[in-house]
Amino acid sequence: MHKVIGSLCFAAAFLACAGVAEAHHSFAAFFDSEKTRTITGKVTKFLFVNPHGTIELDVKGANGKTEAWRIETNAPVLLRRLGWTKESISYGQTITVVGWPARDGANYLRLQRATDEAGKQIGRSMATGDQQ
Amino acid sequence: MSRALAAAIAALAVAACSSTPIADAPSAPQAAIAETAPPPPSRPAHPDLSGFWSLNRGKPVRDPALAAKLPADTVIVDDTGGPELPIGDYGGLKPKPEALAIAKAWKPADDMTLDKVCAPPSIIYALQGPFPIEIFQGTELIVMKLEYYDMVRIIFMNRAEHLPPEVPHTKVGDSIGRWEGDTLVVDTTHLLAATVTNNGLFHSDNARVVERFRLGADGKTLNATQEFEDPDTLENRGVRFITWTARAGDHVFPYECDPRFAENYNK
Repeated sequence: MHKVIGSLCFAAAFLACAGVAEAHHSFAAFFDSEKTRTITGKVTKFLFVNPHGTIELDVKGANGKTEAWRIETNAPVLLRRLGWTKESISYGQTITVVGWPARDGANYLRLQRATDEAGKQIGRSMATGDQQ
Repeated sequence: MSRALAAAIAALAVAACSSTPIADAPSAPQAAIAETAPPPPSRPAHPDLSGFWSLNRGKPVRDPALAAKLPADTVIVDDTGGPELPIGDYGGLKPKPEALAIAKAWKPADDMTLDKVCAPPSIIYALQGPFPIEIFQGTELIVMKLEYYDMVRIIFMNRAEHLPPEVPHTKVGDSIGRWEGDTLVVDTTHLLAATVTNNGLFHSDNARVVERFRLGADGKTLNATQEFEDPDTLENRGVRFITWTARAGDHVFPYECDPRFAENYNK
């Protein structure tokens, strides 16, 4: 009996701890690494902060309507070593992004690489498997 | 007399400034220099792990000398670097029933909140991530800066016992180190509960970590094992192999986590 109560107490305490301990973003849970998607659009926002950067794009869909997309980047602290800076992308600039799509079908990608309007790559590519 | 004195002074000046030995220089000044000169450099007692270390892409080196130290019941968790284990895959670790129930109930989106997104993992998940580290090696202390979440570890080389149990736990814990030949062995307790595999499996506050760091033959590679065990959440013991490459002149960048990222998951 004491053992059961002890076990229940531990479980309750551990659940409480776990709730505050878990905080890290999981690539595998959110993105499908077996698929890629390419989109082109106009930059409406670029946030170059850790743990992940964000690019927001207005993308014209096949029906002519504009859709809002968001792209998540690797940790900017890693991107800096790949030639990225917070000035790498400007508001209003048209860019093309290749990325892993969100598993839930949302207009959300994880960045693999990006090119500017002239086709020049922005920074250097993420290596396969670099998911942080 | 004055000419002889001037000649002696000139000879002394030449002897003092010359970088090459002068055969006929007076012996007294040489003796004085010899008395104050530092002793010849001796071979360092231990390898120097100081410097900037960039995590290797691809599979880590499984240094046989480090592998030989692993207890027989240790499972190798093969997710070092960028790749992450999918939901439900704990890399061979066997969660205890309570921990497994928590892992199964875990929802990734629950973490994407302003108050949680910048909380760092413990060293159990943090050290293997694709972020560099920087080591400052002293004799009493070794300091290890992780670029990931600006974490700083202090390894006490001058202490054989861990802190008392009531001392607060942290994500870097209490680390005491020792040298076993050419290998730095670090034992860590006092960790705060945090993720093990970033997919719902947590360790408790009672986890213990044993790490072994050893330079590769070229001196430019640092190989490590990080063993961990947790009597509260794991039936077995896990280990990750980790390999870094030295990069002279580089330093870790500030991480300065910004929780606004969580807004992406709450729109």
